[in-house]
Amino acid sequence: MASTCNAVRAVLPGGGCLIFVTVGTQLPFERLIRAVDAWAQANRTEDIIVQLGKTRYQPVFCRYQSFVEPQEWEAYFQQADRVVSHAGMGTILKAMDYAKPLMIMPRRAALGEHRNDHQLATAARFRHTAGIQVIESEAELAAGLAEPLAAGRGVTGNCESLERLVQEIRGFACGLRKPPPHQYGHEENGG
Amino acid sequence: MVSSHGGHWVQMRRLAPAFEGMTIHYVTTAAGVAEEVAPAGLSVVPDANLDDKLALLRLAASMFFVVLWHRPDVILSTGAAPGFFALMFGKLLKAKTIWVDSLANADRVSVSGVKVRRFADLWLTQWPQLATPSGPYYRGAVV
Repeated sequence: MASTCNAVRAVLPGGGCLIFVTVGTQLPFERLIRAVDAWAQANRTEDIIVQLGKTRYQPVFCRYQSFVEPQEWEAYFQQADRVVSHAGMGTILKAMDYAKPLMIMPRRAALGEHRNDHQLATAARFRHTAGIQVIESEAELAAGLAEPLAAGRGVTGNCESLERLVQEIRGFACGLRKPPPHQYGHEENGG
Repeated sequence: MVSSHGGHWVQMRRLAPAFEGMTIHYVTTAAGVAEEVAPAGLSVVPDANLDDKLALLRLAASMFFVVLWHRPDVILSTGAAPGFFALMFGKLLKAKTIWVDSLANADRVSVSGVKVRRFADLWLTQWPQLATPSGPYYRGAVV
């Protein structure tokens, strides 16, 4: 694992950011990859690694791989200064895990990028989450990447929402409050 | 605290403060997180989903013994199949049971989340639009 991390960093040109771009393994996402490549062309000091998945378009100004082993993916994620991805829950949760600044572009069913628009719902849900930026275009991607990285800009999430959930669980576990009643189903008594 | 490895696990770990001061034992499907949870204990059970009935049986058997051995007072899971079995057996052994459906299930409650309703005392979803007056309930989310 350590040697993989070193290999990721070794090609970093003098002092630029390492940006990891990932679009999942199920469906292509050419719109995002093209936007990243266009930005990379104008910003040659940054190091960008792109996980293409099923995307056919091959970037000219970024390093890319179609398939990334799980351990390698973890290494790229850990080493990245920023992550750019589709609005997939897996990536959002990983960004949470590693407290990485994340930019997400939701896939649109109308453009053939997904079977439905649930990524739009996901993006709307996380639009105001600290550390997550929703982008819809190349211009927004460029604007987002132009902002300097400040310390502590990673995804931390909504502390209030988490705190509320933790308190609800704790209260129930300690016997301080009863759970809201729900129907258990036909075969059992409630409660 | 029981969950599948991966996204379910990440979410569940964010709920650990709910049990501060209590003894926590973790159960999941991959051993790599032992260091992360130390000094709390970790049990590893086989992974399984609805596609493989035999694997499900192996998982159920394994989980039965883990729950029986540890006799927890409270069992919490974020899913998926391992959590279902943990809550089912936990209820048989009179534990308090908590299901928090994964954040990834934004459109509808997960299959195991629906099936587990009769075994879950506290039955929760992390999306307010999925909550109903008869459950699951929305009480916050891990992010």
